[in-house]
Formats: sequence, structure tokens, C-alpha cells
Amino acid sequence: MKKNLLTVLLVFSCISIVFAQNSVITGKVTDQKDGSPLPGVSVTVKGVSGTGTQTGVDGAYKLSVPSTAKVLIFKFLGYKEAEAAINGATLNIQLGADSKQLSEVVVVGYGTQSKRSLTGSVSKIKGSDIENIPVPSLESAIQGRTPGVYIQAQNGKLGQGIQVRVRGASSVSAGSQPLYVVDGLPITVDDFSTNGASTNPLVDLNQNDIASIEILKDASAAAIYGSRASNGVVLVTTKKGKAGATVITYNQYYGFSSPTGERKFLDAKQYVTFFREAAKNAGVSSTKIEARLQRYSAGNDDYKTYKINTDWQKQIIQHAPVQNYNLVFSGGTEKTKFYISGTYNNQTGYLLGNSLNQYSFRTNIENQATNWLTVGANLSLSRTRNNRLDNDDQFSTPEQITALAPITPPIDPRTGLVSGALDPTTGNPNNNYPTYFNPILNSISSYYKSTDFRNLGNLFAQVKILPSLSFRSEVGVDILNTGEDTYNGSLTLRIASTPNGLGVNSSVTSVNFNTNNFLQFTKDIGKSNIDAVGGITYQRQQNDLNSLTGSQFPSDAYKKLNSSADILLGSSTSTAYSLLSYFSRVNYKYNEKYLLSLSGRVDGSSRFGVNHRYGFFPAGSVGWVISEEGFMKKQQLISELKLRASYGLTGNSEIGNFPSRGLFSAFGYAGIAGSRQTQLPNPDLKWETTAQADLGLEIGFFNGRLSGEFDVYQKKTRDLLLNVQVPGTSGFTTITQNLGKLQNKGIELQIDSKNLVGDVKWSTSVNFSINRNKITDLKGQVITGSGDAVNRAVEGQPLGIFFAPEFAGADPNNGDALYYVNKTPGDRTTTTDYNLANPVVIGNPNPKFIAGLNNTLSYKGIDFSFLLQQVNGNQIYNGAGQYMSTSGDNGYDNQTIDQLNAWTTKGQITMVPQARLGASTGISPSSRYIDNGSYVRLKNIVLGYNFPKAMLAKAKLQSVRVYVQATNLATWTKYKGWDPELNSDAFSGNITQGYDFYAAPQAKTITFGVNVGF
Amino acid sequence: MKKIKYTIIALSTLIVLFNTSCKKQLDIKPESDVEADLAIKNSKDVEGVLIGAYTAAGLRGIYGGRLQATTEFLANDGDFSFYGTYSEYTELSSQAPTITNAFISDLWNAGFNTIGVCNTVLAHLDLVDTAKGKRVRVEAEAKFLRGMTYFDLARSFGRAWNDDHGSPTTNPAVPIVLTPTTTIPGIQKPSRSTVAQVYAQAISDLTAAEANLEVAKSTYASSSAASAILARIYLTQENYTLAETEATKVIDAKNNGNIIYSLVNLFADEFQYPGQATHVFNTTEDIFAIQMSSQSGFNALNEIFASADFGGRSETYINQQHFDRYETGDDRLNEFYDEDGLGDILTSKFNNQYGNVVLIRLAEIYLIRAEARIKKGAADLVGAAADINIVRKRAKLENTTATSAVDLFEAVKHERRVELAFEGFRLFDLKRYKESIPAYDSNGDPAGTIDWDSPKLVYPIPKRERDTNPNLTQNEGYQ
Repeated sequence: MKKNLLTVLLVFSCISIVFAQNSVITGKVTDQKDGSPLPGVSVTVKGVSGTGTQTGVDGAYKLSVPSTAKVLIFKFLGYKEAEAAINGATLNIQLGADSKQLSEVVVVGYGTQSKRSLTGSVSKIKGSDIENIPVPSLESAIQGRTPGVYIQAQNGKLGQGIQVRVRGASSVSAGSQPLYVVDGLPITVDDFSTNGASTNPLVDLNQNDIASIEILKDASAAAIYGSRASNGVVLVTTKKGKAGATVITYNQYYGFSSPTGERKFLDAKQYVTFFREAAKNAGVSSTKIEARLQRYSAGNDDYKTYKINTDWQKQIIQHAPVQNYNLVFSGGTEKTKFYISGTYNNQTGYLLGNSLNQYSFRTNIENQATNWLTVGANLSLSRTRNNRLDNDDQFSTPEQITALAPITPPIDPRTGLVSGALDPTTGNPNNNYPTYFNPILNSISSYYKSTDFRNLGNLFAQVKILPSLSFRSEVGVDILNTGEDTYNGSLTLRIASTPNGLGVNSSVTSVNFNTNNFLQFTKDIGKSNIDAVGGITYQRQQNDLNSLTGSQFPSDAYKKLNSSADILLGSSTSTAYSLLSYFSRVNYKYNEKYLLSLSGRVDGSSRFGVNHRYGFFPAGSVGWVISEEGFMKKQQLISELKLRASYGLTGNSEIGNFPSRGLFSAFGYAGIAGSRQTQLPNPDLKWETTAQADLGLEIGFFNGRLSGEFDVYQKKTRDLLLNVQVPGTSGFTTITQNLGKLQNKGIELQIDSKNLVGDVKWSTSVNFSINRNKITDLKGQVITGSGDAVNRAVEGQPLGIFFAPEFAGADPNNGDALYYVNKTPGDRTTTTDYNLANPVVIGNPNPKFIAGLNNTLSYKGIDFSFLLQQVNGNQIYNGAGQYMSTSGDNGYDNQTIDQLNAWTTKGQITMVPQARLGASTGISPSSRYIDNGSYVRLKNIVLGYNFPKAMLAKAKLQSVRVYVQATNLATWTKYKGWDPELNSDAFSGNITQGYDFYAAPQAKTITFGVNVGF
Repeated sequence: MKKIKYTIIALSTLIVLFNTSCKKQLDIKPESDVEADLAIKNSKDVEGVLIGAYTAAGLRGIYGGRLQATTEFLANDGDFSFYGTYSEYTELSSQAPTITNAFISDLWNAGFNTIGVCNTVLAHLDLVDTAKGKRVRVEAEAKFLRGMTYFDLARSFGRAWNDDHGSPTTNPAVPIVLTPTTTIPGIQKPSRSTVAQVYAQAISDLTAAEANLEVAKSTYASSSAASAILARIYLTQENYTLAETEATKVIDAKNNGNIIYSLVNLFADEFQYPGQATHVFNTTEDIFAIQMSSQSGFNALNEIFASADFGGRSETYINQQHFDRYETGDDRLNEFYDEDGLGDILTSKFNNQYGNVVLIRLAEIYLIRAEARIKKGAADLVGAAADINIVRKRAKLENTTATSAVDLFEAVKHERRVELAFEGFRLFDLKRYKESIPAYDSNGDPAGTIDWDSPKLVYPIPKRERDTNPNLTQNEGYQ
């Protein structure tokens, strides 16, 4: 043995001697875990400066070392630093992961931080989790994936507005959407839609370019964004290239969409029977009712035999293919890294005439110009064409087709054209057949094209002044141009009121300029670590709008306004705001155990009067990493334990640009211009302020196999920016004032578990959150939402509660609608007089809790995952109930199937009053139209297969994965409407929530995709 | 060390420069609107606000048509049926408006908005040029609009003048506000003034307008327009002599020796629809009309009474009961059309979507004078018959056969019913004539009548208003 050892030593020393002057060492660095090569590992010689290299894609390196070299040092982020003695020309080494360093890096305001030393509440979603999900915007993709974030799409129309509430709504009248920041640039999220239904400007962002999304939830994390942080901040970071050989990936998917649900309406036989009865009960002569039925039966007697039985909601569904192609080049050298991507996305909605077509390009480049200067640019360009539909409150919106009679044929046999297209007696489209305007005519004769051109980019330079101090300057601009081109052709006469076409062309150009200039300082002093940032930011956004409306076109072949003989309206407007801010944050860490963070921001905004132009938003937080304590080292069970607490102030100023000014607006009167005051000045107007306290616990067991994060918070908002009702006798009806308070408190829980590791990998992630919203002070005011105004803001109640008389069903004696008087709580006296019934809380649109459950499994090349999303304990008010579920009150609107329970005989107990054509009772807003809005949804499910590398090597491919994916595949709900995830696009707002009004159901999409790495 | 020093100097310079240049940027002026302190600087500005007062009056909530339509619906005794989706009209049509009825709330708000803009004009008269009587005219026009609005608000929200439940001097109408609100602390919570007080305010404003406006045809307020509203008020107050005097001022109004106003030849000509919807100018019969065009205004009468072919909603159909009121050969019967040949009849009065909303036309003035002449102390029955016959002649009817006061009164009631149908007169006429309308129970079966002085025919004070102003009392039947 000894001999052998000696021989070995001898051989080594010989080698050393041989290479003494200028030796070359080669080797390969691999991962201790699975032996995979590690590219980009830095290799240096211990004690010798200026000599070093990096491993290539295959983990190999080659380094010339001086004769004095004894030991090589290998460094790689996330791995333990390793030293290895030089023992010849070859030196292979395995690096082990460093659990300390492995702690996730989290993007925070103006910097990054390791998750481990974070003292704020931040949720992170990895880009890979939301890649290739066929939804129009990223919010839909993150729905259900993180606690404390309630996301609700309006309806199933593509690119429609979407509501995101981080830890509840913290405002009654001001905006409640979070601030979105992309690569340091607060982006434009204004809604430029002109048809009454909002669109979502985030549609322009390509999901596949996103590296991570961080949601800053508590004051400690968000307060550095000051006056815009009360609703939470969503930081989107786009992908960067990595040093190494260029990686080329190609992603493609193809699939189909369909609606998630249906609402049940009367069929032909039920319809005819119901309306004959309703007519009889209302004293409408049989001649009249038969004439009407005949009219809606295309003028013939088919209705008597129920020969035609049209299910109208099926008529507005189209074949809806979805396709997406995405090509990415990324890579670079140590000095220059790049990421280039191009995407083509074409989604056809399942609703007739609805589609979204998008091209987007992104280039992210970073270059280390000198050893003290790094420069870079993140630039994206996109063009999104959305063929839109009218808002939910229009006869032309698809779901309003359900008002049509089932006895009406889709094609009018008298003309052979779509029902309603032609009245042979007038030569014009029918104005009394079918029952209402047929929305199908809209898809034939009209279009509504909304086109976004968006250029989102920023340039940055970072100067290293000292090893511990650097200066970063960012200049960004978000240029968004939204053009709308609409045309209502002659077939839409019944709704457009103009027989010869109506065209509208409008354009908004929004330029949002932003610059951040800040110093970053980081230094270890003994066991202390200081990480500080401070600087100035300035932002200015200006929106310029133009629009032109014209009518009188020669024919439907002419659609542009140059062909319009009568220009009806022309307008241009401008609006702007600016924000000048100073911010700073200092993080102090002692011995990896004790954490302290202080931050502050001073915001100056053009939106407020001189009296309150500047606001200060401080926050502080502490953390204690208990698992680093000596006493924790003895046990193996708990691998990580951290307690954190934070408190701070944030603001909200989303109330338009000039709410503090007294304003006069111009109005024309028969060609003469005039003006009148439209707004009273409020020089004292200032931000809404939210004080938020958060207590968090992070715990990991079994070396991270099981981990959990638990937060409890309270957000108290004061100085609410309210549209306060004032006596109309003043000549004004509302003013914007700081008045009132509300609060949100809640808990959030996130548990991640690696159930199985090894060949079969299975991980589960659960999130659960409860938020309780309560308006604590409105100075006695009751603020109503739009729509039926059943949604209210009332003191002592959550925002948006449904407040209306309580419906008591049909009077067993005569079938009249009864309401509970509710003079005192529990008063069960009933009345037929709606005015005598006191309005009470009849429901709450805010869920009791929301939850998500994500499971990921993989075995060899197969991967499988599914995400369940739950919303529980909320109610929905059907604003269209007054038309569709009204015992035949609203003319000849088809009725929902439950109206068959209408009262018919004395003594009958039913919740549906007697059917009386045009004369039913119980039609006013009441609890009659409240329904359960809870649901559980299989939000996403994916099954994929990765082809074995060996097989791909022959084809010179790095990776190939094929998959099948479904979104919204199954929904479990008691809601009787189309789909429980809704908010009427025509009425929704902070107060009007959970209000259904012909809201089209969400799309269920199944896609087949392939990802190829070259 | 040098490097650091330079860097710090450079950075501080940069920050200071940046800071000062951006601070200026924090003062951004609105461009689409004008700040209040810049809006009224000179005579032209005040004249502009006067135009603004017309646009306020022309809003759909009030003279743009909903004042007329809502009162027609409340007074509907079965002459027409509503099949539409506006619950506001449904409530009114069944004489059961709620305190949350948005159209009633809009009427209140639009009314006081108009009054507020007029008050703004009146508060800035010192800026208006005095040359050519401009200041006098501006003041008088503002007072015309304010007076007319007060009168209509008083009779909508207060009991009728002739109502003997209480009296005009005790029955509450609406608050009287005569100064503009310019600041938030300046917002008042006024109480309701009495019917008599509000009428007196209206008469005072209109008398001033009558005296200071020219007797000349105008798109804007004129002396004759003020006389016409005064005639309406005096007729309502049963002050027949003054009603006749004011009506005569309008009928005899001359400009350069020529009679200004005359009935158009054909009834249909008063309700023009020139092939397509477009603005038409006031006819010789129009004394005051809200001007509509494709660029401005909203004709709420078109919306609710016209068919979809003419820009309306095809929701209000006229019943046989109404046609039965006409005499054979009455040309006014031709102002209806069958929408589809199936017996769904609509009125053609409001087919022009961009047609003016006529508030005062000469035919009404003749009928006011006829009524006044019949009812006044020393009745002028011959004169009354002559006035009635002028209106009848245009409708291609023979002279009235009535000669006695009683018969002539019936004749004038009939003429108003058919001549002024759907134009917003019916509610106040039935109150003046103390008529009743049939009531229906919840089954739609006839159930007695609603009397002219029923609280159901007075609008409630809107809930929104009482929520913001506790000093406002509610009307009977809505507590």
C-alpha cells in the first residue's frame, strides 16, 4: 500500500515538474446531484490573480496555469465553492448545491434579494409555470397560483378587462388594480376601450418572455413604490440570456376553445305554453298573443307544433382554434448576453366574431463594457389586433341572443336570410322580428377592430464606483397606441339607428416616460451585511385621444370614414400626469440571523393640489432566522424557520389626473360653443393612505422537502378618495373628497411539498387565503354601484355588498310577489309594496376564501400537472334577471327554465310569482336574483412527454417535449348562470362586483403543443 | 480616491439638475377642460356660460325630453302602452314611481344643474359688456331658463296649485337656490320652499326676462318665450286675466310690424322629418325649442316614442283608446304610423332623432288663451271659440259647434288632448281639470281610479337627494 502511494506521489510530482513552466489543465465540472454538466462555472487559481476561465456548455474547461499553481477554485452561483488540488493535467470535480445560496432570488423594488433574507411578503411565480398557457393575458395564467391575490376575469370575451385584487380592495372610488412594473418601468395600464367594456392592456405582454412575476403584498415590500402601492405591486421580469452556447427553443401549440357553461332557457313548447298562460293572466287577448307568437315564428304557424326549437346560445358559438408559435434565441458570452424572441399568437374566441391576433418581439441585451460599466436594453414590440364584441349591455352582445324566442328560426324562411336581416315589406332589416335585434346580424354586418401597437423598452447603465457601491440609471418608455376602427353596417339598423352605416375611428397615443437613478451599496462588515439603495425617479404619462364618427355610407362595401357623407362627431382630448419621487431602502443583516429593513419614499404628484402635493410613505420590517440559531442546529426536522414582521404606509392616487381642480367643460349648442362648470375644486385632495401590518412565518422541514409560509395581515385605509354624493341643489351631484376608512385583514397560507423525489417526482403546492373587507367609515353615506345599484358601499359592511329588499316569493293566495318588510332584523312581515320593503344585505360578492392546489408529477420523460382553483362563499346578482327570470314581465323575452315554477294555483308555495305578460310583479331588484357564486375549477391540466436525449442526439436536438394541456376543463359550481367567474363588462367597478348581465362564460381551451430545443 | 470624488461631484450635479427640471413638470394643467379660475375672465366667457346653461337645460334628464316623457308616462291613462326595458318608465306608467327612480332623480339634478349654471351667469354679470344691451340680455336669458326650470320643478315635485290638500303657501315644492356653488364648503343643504314661493320666484325671473328680452324670433330665449311660460303659470294659478294677457302678447308679437309667430300650414310640418335625421330650424310656430343636432343634444322623446327605424327604441305603442279621441277627418290622426303592418302604432311627432325638442309652440298659446277667455271673470266666449278654431282649422276640421262656456271648456280640453298629445302637457292638464285616471290592481284588473290630487301623481323627492340633504322632507305616499 505504502509503495503504491509513493508511486502515485512520484508520478504526480513528475507531472508537476513537467508542467512547471506553463501547464494546461482541463477538466469537467458536474453537478453532484445528477452528474449533469455545469456551464458557466468560474475556475480560478488560488492565490494567483488574473488567471481564470469558465466552463462551457458541456461543463468542460481548459486553463493555463503558472507553475506555482497548486489549487483551483470553482465558483458557481447556488453551489458550494470548491477547492481542488492540482494533481495532473486533468481535474474533474463535482459541485454540491449550497442550501444557503440556493435560497431563491426574489426581485424587489429597485433590486433583488434572497428569499432567505427577505422581511417583506412577496409571492413569486416562475415564468416556466405560465409558459404556453393559452390565455390572453398573464393574470389569467397566475390565477390560483398564489395566495392573497384574487383574480377575476369579466367574461369570456378575448382581451377583456380583468380584476386583480391583492389582499382585498383598498379603495371605494379610486383604482384598485395593482401597480405593474416591467423590468423596473411602471407600465401603462389605462383602459382605452371606447365601447363601455374595458380591455386589458397587459394582453400586449408575451407570457413566454417572462422570467418571473413577483407580487409585493405587504408595506415592507411595496412602500418603496409609495403613492401607488396600496393595491400591491406586480413586478414582471423578462428573460435574460445566459453565457454559453446559443440556445434555440421553439414552442408551438394548437388547440380549441369552447364555453365553460350554459344557462337553461325555455324550449319552444315551454315558451309557447308559458306565454299563452302569461297573456291570459295579464288579460292580454288571445288574438294578440297568438299574433305575437306567429310574428316571432317567422309569420307562420310552426310555433303551434313547436317545429322550430332554436337554442339561441348555441348560435353564437363558432369554431375557435387557438395557435401560438414562439421562437427564442438566447445565450451570450461572459461579457454580452442576449435574449431574442418572436411570437405569433392567434386566438379565435368561441364567441361569434371574436378573435385576437398578436405578433410580439423582444430583445434583451446586456453588455459589460468595461470592468466598471455595464449597459443594456430590454426592448419589446408588439401588435395586438382584437376583433371585439359590444359590451354586455347591448342588444348586439352575443349572450343577449338568449332573449330571442325559441320559436324563431335562425334563418327566416320568408327571405332565406338570417332572421332579422330583411323585412320584405320595407326592404330594410326587420325592426320587430325577431323579438330583439339578432346579434348574429352584428357579426355579419359590423366589425370592431381594436389594434394595439406597443413599444415597451428601457435602457440601463450600471457604474461600479467602488466594489461595494454602484450607480444605476434606467430610462424607459412605454408607448402604447390603441386604434379602434368600428363599422355598423346596414343590417344593424335596429340598434345603430342609422340605415346607411355608422363608422367610428379613434386612436389613443399614450407615452409613458420613466427614469430611475439610484445608488446601490452592499458591504459585509464583520458579521453584518448592509444592502442599501436610494435614488430619484421621475415619471410622466401623456395620453392623446382622437376620434371621429360618421354615418351615411354609399353601401356596406364602403366602411372607412372617407366614404361617410355625414361626419357626426369629432373629438380630441389630452391628459397627463407626472410623478417625482425620492426613495431609499436599507437592509441590515447580522450573522444571517437578524434582519432589519427600512424604506421610505417621497412622492410628488401633479394630481393633487399644492396643499398636498407631496406624500411620505415609510415602512419598516424585522426578521429573525431562527433556524440559524445554535439551538436549532441540533435537530434535523426543521431546516428553516423564519419570523418576520412589517409595518408601513402606502398610498393610492388612481383617480384620474385632475380631480383636485375646479373644471369648466365646453359644450356645443346648435353650433355655438358654450361652457359650464363640471367639477368643483378641492385643493385639499390627497392620497388614500393604507397602513399595513404583516406578520409572517416561513418554515421548512426535512431539508426543504416540506415548506410553508404563513402570513397574517391588516390593512387600514384612511382618507378614501370618494366620489361623495352632494345635494343636487348645488348644481353638482358628486365631488371627489378624502373621506372615510376601510380595512382588509386576512391570512395567507402557502405549503409546498416535494412528496416524492427520485425517479418519480411528485410535488404539491397548496395556497389558501382569507380576506375580510370592511368599510369602517363613510360618514353615513351609502354609495351605489352601476347597473341596478344593488351593489353598495355601506359602513360596517364589505365593499360591494348586495343591498336590496328581500324577496319572499309568490303570495300563495294570488301569485303576487312578496317582499319582507324587514323593519327590524328578523321582521318576517311581508308586503307587496316594494317601496315598503326595507333594503337589507342580501349577499356579498367577496369570497369567504380562495384557494389553489397545484400538483406536478414526473416520471422519466413524462410530466403531468394540474391546478385546481377555488373561490368560495361569494354571491352573484343576476342583473339580467329582470328580463330573463321575471315571470314573463319583460315582453316576450325568453325566460330561464326556473320560471316554469311560476305560481298557478291558490295555496301554491313557490318563489316565482304568477306569470303575467308585461305585468308580473317582483321585477324590481331584490334577493330574487341572488345566487351562489362559489366554484372549484380545474384551471389547468397538462400531460407532457420529453423524448429521451439519446434518441434526440441523432436528430441533433437538445430536447423535444410534446404535451396536451387544458384550461378551465371542468368547473364545479351551483351557480345557475353561464359561469361563476364573471363581472359584467358594462357595469363592473370597485363597487359593482359579482354582477351578472349576460356575461359570456369563460373559455375552456384544449391545446396540443411541442417544445423543441436545438 | 480621485475617481470617487469625481463620481460624487458628477452624480450630485446630475441629481440637482434632474430634480429642478422635473419639479417644474409637476404642475400639469388640464388641456381638455379649463380650470375654474381661468374659465370666467371676460364678457365672452360669461356669454359662453350662458350657452352652457342652454346645454344644461337641453340635457336628456330635463328639457331634452325626459321631463315631458316622464310626466306623460305618469299621467298615462291607457292611451299608450310601454313594452320597454326602462324600469323607470315602467314604474311611472303604472303610477308607482319609487324613490330611487333614476329619471326622477335625473330631473331633480338636471333641473338644479341648469339653475346652477344660470346662477353662475348671474353672479358674473359685472364682466359682461354693457354695449348694445348685452348685459341686460344675458341676465334676462339666464333668468328665463331659471324661471322656467323652477316652475317645472315646482309642479313636478310639489302638489298642484289648485290642490286643496293644504295650500300653495304651505305645500312644499323645491328649494330655491339663487347663488352658484363654487367651493365644497359652499355647498348648502337648503329646505324645500313652498309651491307659492317657487312659483313667485319663477314669475319674478320670467317677468324680468319678458321685460328685458327683445320681442323677436330667436333660437334662444325671447320676450315671447317668457310671456308664454308666464301664461302657463297664470293659467295654472287660475289667474285667467293675466294668462290671457300673456298669451295675447305672444300671439300678437310683432317685429317690424310683422306678426312673428304663426301656425305652420300642416300639422305634420311642425314635426319635420326631412328624409333623414338632421337638425331643423325652428318653425314659425316654435316659440322656444331645445336645439338638437347630430353634434349635440339627445332627444329623449325620440328615444322613447319613435320606432327603431327612426332612432327610437320601438317600445311605446299607442292604443285605440287614443285614436277614439279624434274626430273624423282630424289631420292630426295622420301623425301616427304602423311600425310593421301588424297594428303596432307609434306617434310620428318625434321621428327626427336630431329634431329640436319643442318646448313652446303657438298652438298651445291659442289654447291657453281660449281656456283663459272661457274661465275668466268676464268670459270672452267668442274669442275663445276663435282661438280654438284656429287650431282646428289647421287640423282640417270645421269650426267648433260649442258656444256655451261649458261646451267650449270641453272643446278646449279635447283640443289640448289631441293637439298636444305626448308633448308633456297631460299630467298638468289633468290636474288643472281635476280629472282622474283609471287604476289597476296587481293583476292588471281595473281597480277604481287615481284622482288628480292623489300623491301618486306627485314625484317623490329622490332618495339620493334626501340622503345627502336631511333638510328635505318627503312627499306624501313615499315615506
